[in-house]
Amino acid sequence: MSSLVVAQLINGCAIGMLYAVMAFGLSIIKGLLNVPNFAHGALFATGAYVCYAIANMGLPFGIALIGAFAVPALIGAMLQRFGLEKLAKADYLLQVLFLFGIALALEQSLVVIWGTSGVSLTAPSLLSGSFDLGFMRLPRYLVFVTVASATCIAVLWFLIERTKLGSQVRAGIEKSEMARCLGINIKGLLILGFALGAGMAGLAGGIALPLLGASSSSGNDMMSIAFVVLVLGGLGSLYGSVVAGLLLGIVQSLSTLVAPTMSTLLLYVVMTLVLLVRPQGLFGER
Amino acid sequence: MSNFQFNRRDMLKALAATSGSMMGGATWAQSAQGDLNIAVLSQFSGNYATLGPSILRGAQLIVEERGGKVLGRKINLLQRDDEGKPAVGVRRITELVENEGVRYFTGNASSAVGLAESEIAARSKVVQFAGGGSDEFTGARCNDFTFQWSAHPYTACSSTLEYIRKLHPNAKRIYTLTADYAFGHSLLKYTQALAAGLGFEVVAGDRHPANERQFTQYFNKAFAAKPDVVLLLTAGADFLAAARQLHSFGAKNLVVGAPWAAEIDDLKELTPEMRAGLILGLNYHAGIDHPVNKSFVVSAVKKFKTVPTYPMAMGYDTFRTLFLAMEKANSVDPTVVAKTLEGWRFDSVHGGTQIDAKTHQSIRPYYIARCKAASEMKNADDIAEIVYQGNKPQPVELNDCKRA
Amino acid sequence: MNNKHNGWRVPAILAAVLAVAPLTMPVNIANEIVVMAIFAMAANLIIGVAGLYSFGHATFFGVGAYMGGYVLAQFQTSTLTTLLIATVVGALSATIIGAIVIRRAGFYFMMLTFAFNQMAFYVVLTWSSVTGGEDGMGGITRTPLGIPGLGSLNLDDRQVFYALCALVFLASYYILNRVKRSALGLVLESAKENPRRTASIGYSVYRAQITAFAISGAFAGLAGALYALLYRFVPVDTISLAMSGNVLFMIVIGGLSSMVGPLIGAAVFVWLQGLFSLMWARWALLFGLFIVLVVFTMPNGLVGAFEKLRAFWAQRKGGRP
Repeated sequence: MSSLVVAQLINGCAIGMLYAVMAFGLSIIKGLLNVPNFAHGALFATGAYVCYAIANMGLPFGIALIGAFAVPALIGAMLQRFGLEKLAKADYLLQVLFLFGIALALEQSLVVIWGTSGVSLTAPSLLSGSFDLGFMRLPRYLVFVTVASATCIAVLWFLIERTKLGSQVRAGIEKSEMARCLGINIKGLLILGFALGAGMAGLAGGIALPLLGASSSSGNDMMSIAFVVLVLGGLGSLYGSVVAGLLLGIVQSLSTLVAPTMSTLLLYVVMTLVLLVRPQGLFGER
Repeated sequence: MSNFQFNRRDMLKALAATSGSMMGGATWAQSAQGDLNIAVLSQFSGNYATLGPSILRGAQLIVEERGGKVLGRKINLLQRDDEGKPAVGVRRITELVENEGVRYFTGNASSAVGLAESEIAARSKVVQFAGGGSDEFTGARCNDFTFQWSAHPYTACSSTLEYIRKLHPNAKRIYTLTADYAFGHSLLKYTQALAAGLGFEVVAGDRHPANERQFTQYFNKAFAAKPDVVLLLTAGADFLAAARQLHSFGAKNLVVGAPWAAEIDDLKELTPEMRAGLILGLNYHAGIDHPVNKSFVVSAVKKFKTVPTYPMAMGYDTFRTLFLAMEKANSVDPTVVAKTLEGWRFDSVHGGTQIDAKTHQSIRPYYIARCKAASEMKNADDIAEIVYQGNKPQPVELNDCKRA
Repeated sequence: MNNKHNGWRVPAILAAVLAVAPLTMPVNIANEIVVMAIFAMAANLIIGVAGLYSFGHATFFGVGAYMGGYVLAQFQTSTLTTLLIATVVGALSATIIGAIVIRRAGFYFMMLTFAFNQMAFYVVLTWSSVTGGEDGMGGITRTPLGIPGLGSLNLDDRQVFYALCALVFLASYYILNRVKRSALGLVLESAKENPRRTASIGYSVYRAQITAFAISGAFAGLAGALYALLYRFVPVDTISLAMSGNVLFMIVIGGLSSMVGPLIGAAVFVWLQGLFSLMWARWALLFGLFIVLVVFTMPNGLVGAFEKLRAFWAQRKGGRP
């Protein structure tokens, strides 16, 4: 039995890292622009489809993953530049609905381009198969998901903590009024921020493709969970998302041992409790 | 804000609403007296949007074969999209029956949609020839006007297990992954009922909620139970995700069976490595050796340049049966035709078929296919070969239908 | 302000529109518009009037639908009893959930309503023995409507059922509109602008908002039960996030600022959905783009666009109303 628990723990880590990547992107957007990105799921799905398209052309998986980041990032940049920027003075609700509408249009566009049945991709042979650990089989791809997600977050960490641009992003998120006063190019920063956040969602979609496949609606459940992670981790804390993502992935996996049908319900109960008892989440400040 | 201002503003709004609604009214079609209106109500959008067009084509084929008429009346074939959702299906069939005078319909891919529609069929007294794998159609929710074209899930499970037993005389332990709704529950119920009789034991199992994307945690549990056979009692996108992830575990000697998971076309979404060796249950395949099927396949290939699969066969065969029944009854009245169908033995695309008088279940064979490895495939469409055919009907004592 | 006159004119016009509608479109479409309009008005009390952006209003609609459907399917309760039960349950659930969610504001409020909606959805999904789970709840029949003194009406006649829904809509409109114009409505709108100042004047914002939730939940639950009766079926997406999103769309398309907006929004939504889906399977793409269009060009919805047009005409004519 304990080996089963370990198996679920490892499984939970992998899935949790994927949640973390999604939530990291969401956190950047919420932090910089103060708007919950309801198009995040559609961007996840877009990334997955782009990854599929590129890999299907015969290009290496790595290139496909870059594409999975780049295309949604570009879309995100455009959404900010031509959409949200114009709505900056408008009511909050309108900004949210703009993203909702875009999400719908984006998802349907995916269907128009790639058809209505989903697509799937076999992982490259290097990442296929499993490690036989004796007490459990560990699919190699799950290990890859964990490593790739962690790398992704680490790269972004480096960008944000160790570069000048990154410090501006941090300022924009943690102390936006001050950043404006200091004359930092907020407009450009916001475009970059949305692009980064959207790119993360797309990349998560690409990484998840060999595991979960892709369909136009595959991003929606991911997005819902990403919001739970965001709340649990705390607004204003980028790294809270990472810890919260891991935690939720593990909780979800472990709960399938006890009550599988309740595992998703449990996530939202946790979310509600956090919002009521400690709205700033585990690491947030505001 | 004076009284008068307020009044006018709202008058304008009201007029706009009315004129807007009048434009909507213009699209509903009329049909001549004496025509027979039939419909294909199926999925034309959403995840299984290829099903609807296929079923429609089958229906168009049989209507064309008959010169567009039955008993001297012109046949009007309508189509609507149920989007795979019960609410939409109910809405559409209500519109079709009340606004378009449709009296016979087929096409549901999802059991939930078909079951919701069956209530309308019963109340409005129109004949429904349903598809789908839930045993409730001919069980607890049977009624005078709903007929089931697909095989019974009992037959599906028994055929699958019989074949696995044939191929693997020593396999014993089964793990089941079941979709947590009516359709899945049916399959599980019958798997459990049949296992012991064939020398199997269901050692472990899990239910997964619909539209689950992560199955790796269930498979961890599965492997802990050391099964010889994994049965995927699920369908559609869930089945594809499960098959994909099961494959990532790389278990070499595992027998994977899916009694009612997908039709051959759907398997194209998986790569050959993911599906090699998979044992799949099917409601239809083009190679059925019977004159009715052979001529159907020839016509389909001639008209649509494609070998037919289950949806097209369903669209064709359901209406073919209904038209023959109308001729036998010499009437297009649904109540009369329904009575005629009960207990009737006739030839369909499956060969000899009978419709159970009480439950309205079609009694016909169920086909088992084995997916080929990449090296065995002659071309991209050569996905699986038919290896077995079973036809054990549901025992009477397991049936819940309470019709007279 | 002479409210007495205003009180009767608009419902009279609406009644005329509702009477004409089934002549211009299939009665089941008109019926669905009316039922969704009741839901949308109820939601507008919270979203438009109180300015609380609830992302989970389908919870109360769904609770009413499932409760109503359940008692009808199991006990064949009379129509009036069923509607009453659904209304009460809707109000109760909204009061309880409202009391919890208004403890937080802004984004956190939104997330709380979202979380409760998801919880309700997953409970319904897993409790399939009662709700039918993924497959939805069937076996619902319309019981006769007993009117004391007049006998009973067979609701199986679709025209009769439509008439019932239209009457319920008119009554709901009247009540909700009065609430909007009442002291409660003013407190809510004032709290939308500046909660702290409202509280400092002495009004209990908390109590006003909970009352609003109760009223909103009541009408949402009522609409839910009518929905269950309309299709004699409760699909699982009745209580889903998508339904919460749909009602939000309806309110914004119609216009947040008045109680007529939700009817227009519901009409546009149901009509587009019914009409467009027949023409192009990918109609949702157009719908998404339509939302974007509305957001940019008609932030106050169709009602707001009308007002602008009317003001523009009035200006051209020299300012006379």
